[in-house]
Formats: sequence, C-alpha cells, structure tokens
Amino acid sequence: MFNPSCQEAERLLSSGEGQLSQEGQAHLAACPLCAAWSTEHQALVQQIKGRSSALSAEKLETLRALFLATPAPRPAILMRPRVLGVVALAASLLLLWWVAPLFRAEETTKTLSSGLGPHQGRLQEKNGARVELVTGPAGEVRVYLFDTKGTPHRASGEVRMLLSSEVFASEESKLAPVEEGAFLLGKLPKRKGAVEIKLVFPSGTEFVFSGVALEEPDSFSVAPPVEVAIPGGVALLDNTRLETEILARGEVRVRAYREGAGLLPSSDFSVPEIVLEHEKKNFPVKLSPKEDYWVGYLATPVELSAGAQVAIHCRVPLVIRGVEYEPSRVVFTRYALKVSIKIMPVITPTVIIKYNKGVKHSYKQKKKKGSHK
Amino acid sequence: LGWLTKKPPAASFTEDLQLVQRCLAKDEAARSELFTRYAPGLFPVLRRLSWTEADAEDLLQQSFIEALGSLPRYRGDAALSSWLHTIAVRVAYRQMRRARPMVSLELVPEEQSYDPVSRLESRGTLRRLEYILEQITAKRRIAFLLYEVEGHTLPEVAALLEISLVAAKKRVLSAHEELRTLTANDPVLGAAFARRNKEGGNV
Repeated sequence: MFNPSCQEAERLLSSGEGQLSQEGQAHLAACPLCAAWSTEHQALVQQIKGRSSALSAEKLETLRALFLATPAPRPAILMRPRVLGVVALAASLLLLWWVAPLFRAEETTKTLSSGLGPHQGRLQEKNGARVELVTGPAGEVRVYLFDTKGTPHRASGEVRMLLSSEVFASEESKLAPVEEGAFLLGKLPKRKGAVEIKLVFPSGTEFVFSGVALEEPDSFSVAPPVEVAIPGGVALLDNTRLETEILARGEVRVRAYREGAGLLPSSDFSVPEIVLEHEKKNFPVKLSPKEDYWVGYLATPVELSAGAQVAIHCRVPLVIRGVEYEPSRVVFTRYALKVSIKIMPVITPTVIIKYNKGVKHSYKQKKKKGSHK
Repeated sequence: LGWLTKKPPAASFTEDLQLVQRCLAKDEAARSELFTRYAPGLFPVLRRLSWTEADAEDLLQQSFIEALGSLPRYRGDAALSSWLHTIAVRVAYRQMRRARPMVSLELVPEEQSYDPVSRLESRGTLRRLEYILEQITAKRRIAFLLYEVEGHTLPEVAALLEISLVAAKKRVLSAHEELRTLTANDPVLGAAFARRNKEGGNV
C-alpha cells in the first residue's frame, strides 16, 4: 500500500481540490495526525482566501502616516542596557554579600547573636516522657521533664548531652539536676553553626534536637529557678529573637536579641502589651520599658495546673528598630511550671486638688508597682 | 525550515540590513520605507487571520510597532520579510486569544425557507462560516488558518507558533474535527454540505 509522507500529503492537498490522488486520499484516511481535511471545508477556505485583501495605495499611505506618527517604542525599563547593568551589579553584590560569609565563618560568628537559633522539636514526647529543651542567651541549656499529663518530673540518674555538628567533633557533657526546679541544667560550649543536641537518659531513651548555635557562649548565669512560672518562650522575627519569661510573682519580661547586636536595649523595640491566654481566657498585660527588657505584671491571678499549656501573644503590632510586625507573628506556646501565678498589688493613690473657688476635682491614678515578697 | 532559515539573495539581504541599521538610527525615511516595502505583503495575511478589514489594519500597525521595538534583536538570520511575518502572526495570535467571540445579529441562524446553495454563495453564509470558525479556540484556529488558508506546511506552522510538529498537527486536526461538527449542526451549512456531498459536486 502506498504510504506517502505527511509532507507529501500536504503537497497533494495544497495542490487544490479535485486533484487529490488516490494515494493521498489513502494516506489521509490512515494518518490521524495528517489533519485529514474533508473537501467540503474547502468552501470555507476558499471563502476566507477570497476576502478582499489588497491594500489600496490610498490605504497604505494612510496607514504609513499613522505608523510614522506613532512614537518609536522604547524597550521596557528593565530591558534598557543601563538599567540592566545596574540591576546585574546589584544582584552580583547581593550574591557576594550572601556567599562571602561562607568563606569567612570565623569572622562572621563574632557578629552573631546569642543562644541557640531555631531548633526543631523544642518539645518532644517519647516513651511516656515529655522533654522540653530551652537554651538561654548566655549558653545555658535547660531541659524540663514532664510526664504525659504534664506534671513536672525529676530525672533520676545521669543524663548525658551530646553536642555535635558538621564542623566539630561530638562533645559529651552531663546535665546536672537543679534542686528547686524540675529541670536539668547544662551549658553549650563555645561553638557555632548548625548543631545537634542529643539527650540520652539512663533508660537509653534518646531525644534529638537540631538547631543553629548563634553565638560563642562562654559563660552563663541562671536566675533563681523557683521564680520562673513559665519559662523562656522564644519567637523569631527575621534576625531578632524575642524571649518571654513569666515569673511566679506575676512579672512578665520580654527581651530581644538581634544578630550582630546581642541584647537590645528596650528603646530599640516596643512590646506595649501582651496577652496570656489559658483555657480560652485572656489575661492582658501592659508592659513598660526597663533597661534592656520590657516588663509588666499580670493584673489578675492565674491558676495554672502544672504543665498547663499557655499561649502568649502580642495584641498590638510589635516594633523592632522601626520595623513593625503583625501581632499574629508573635505567639509563644508555653507550658507552666508553677501551679499558680501570684499577682502584684495595685496601688491606687487618690489626689485631691483644691482651687481657690472651692471647686473640688479629684481623679484616681492607677499605678502598678512590682514588689517582691 | 528552509523558508525561515535560508538567506535571501545577497542584494536583498544587504538592503534589509541597511534598512534595519537606518531604522535603528531613528531615520524617519527608513521607517517609512520599511512600512511601504513590507506592509502590502503582510496585510493580506493579517486580513485572512482577522475578521474585519479594520482589525487587519490594527494588527498591521501593531505588528510594525512591535517590529520596530524588536529591530535591535534582528540579526539577519532570516529574511526581513520572514521575520516580520513571524511577528505579525504572533500579534494576530495574541489578538485572537484576547478577543472574545462576538455574535453579530446577522449570524443568528435563520429558520426561514432557503436555498442552501445560494445561501452558501451569499455574503451571509460566509459570515456564518466565519462565525463557526470563531467558535474554535484561538490556538487551533490560528493553526488551521496558517495551514489551510495561508498554505504553510505543518513544520512551518509549528515554527511560527513555536510549538512542536506533533502539537501543530494535533491542533490542525482538532480544528478540522470541530469544524466538521459545527458545520454539521448548522441548519444552513449542514444542509448545504449534505446536498453537495449527495450531488458529488463542489460548492
């Protein structure tokens, strides 16, 4: 059977209606991709071909004049050579700025901020135990232990902490139990970069946390643990690390650490109000700036069962060095250590002003003031 | 794709390049010459790819404006006429995709008595055919028009539309099938074609 190529069939087709050979017909019938064309549609083709398509001299002249009157198109602004050059230069510099630290890691680490950066699985559960890892800005590592109901637990025996990363060999240390707080205390050595912290309990159960060490911690000091009701919530906003701490006496503190700047003074960031949320109840706390943190006090007592879940979030936009962050971006989900949080007394002095005309005006001035018991 | 890649005769090629250089130098006379030399050849193509003469004129203008903007990228790999043709097809295709099908009152099927053959020869029937063609998606329609009306080969259609040869074939074939269905369902054209097929003659 004659089987012409598609091109051959096309040639046969284009030669005109009525001249299609039998071979061409056979090919068209057999080849589905050859766009077999029923001859009746040639009417449509002929009609379209027969459209008045000549451009008269007069029309050509008119169109030419219109064309010449149209301003010559300018290339899109991004396609202009000079703009392209500037964009390419900027991109190169940006790339260089991004790549360069990889080749001078030693210098870069000095400008990094404190503590351990974002690490996965801050809270993990395994074999009926819940373990929470919290790292502080000065290199301290706290490991809180709970049972599955959230009740704080004390570890019996020795817990080993294995620190490893791609850039240094594994180091092993032991976590010391803290008497008054149900947690273990350790210390991050002077390291930097991606790290993996493995906790090995006497039973052999292991918990692995991974993250990035942001500083070279060389010392650490831990506040009296008994005061802490809800420990170090951390939120990361760009290159700033925001930490909350709620003390047992109802004091709420918010600190900020920034890459390259360390602990930020309170004038550099603004957290005017946060909300403690527990069991669908909101406890707003107004904060005011201190030297290097913002502080406020819970206005009402909060009853918390140990291990209860608490969410801390901002109510108003948070500002860090002029950059405003949506409140929804700052949420700390924490677990309480203490059974209840006490509150600070509220002092409400009344001032009476007497005018000459004898009209009395009075107003109340509410003032919250912290006092230690 | 010989028609796209083959070099034009030396004199013509040189002339084209000189014309392009002059246009790039913002020579008004060169722009005028470019239009006068190539518009008459492009207009019939655009006329067949568009519904009305006014549309074709707009497309012609747009094609030359785009060509002028793209002249710095013309390297003389193909004849200037072919290069302009490609731009014109691209402009027409883009317009085809953008334009929504418009139904003219004249195209509403008539239920009155008629003579199919005479109707097919009438202007109204031509518009009915065009209306049917308009029902086909732009990508199939332009493939069909380039292949059937403009007489390009399938490889040329594929190159013009920047698609594979298989895709070009499929688009043309799909256009055929759609046209067949649409014309068969049309009360005027369906009857006319049925009669023609029965008589074995041409319409």
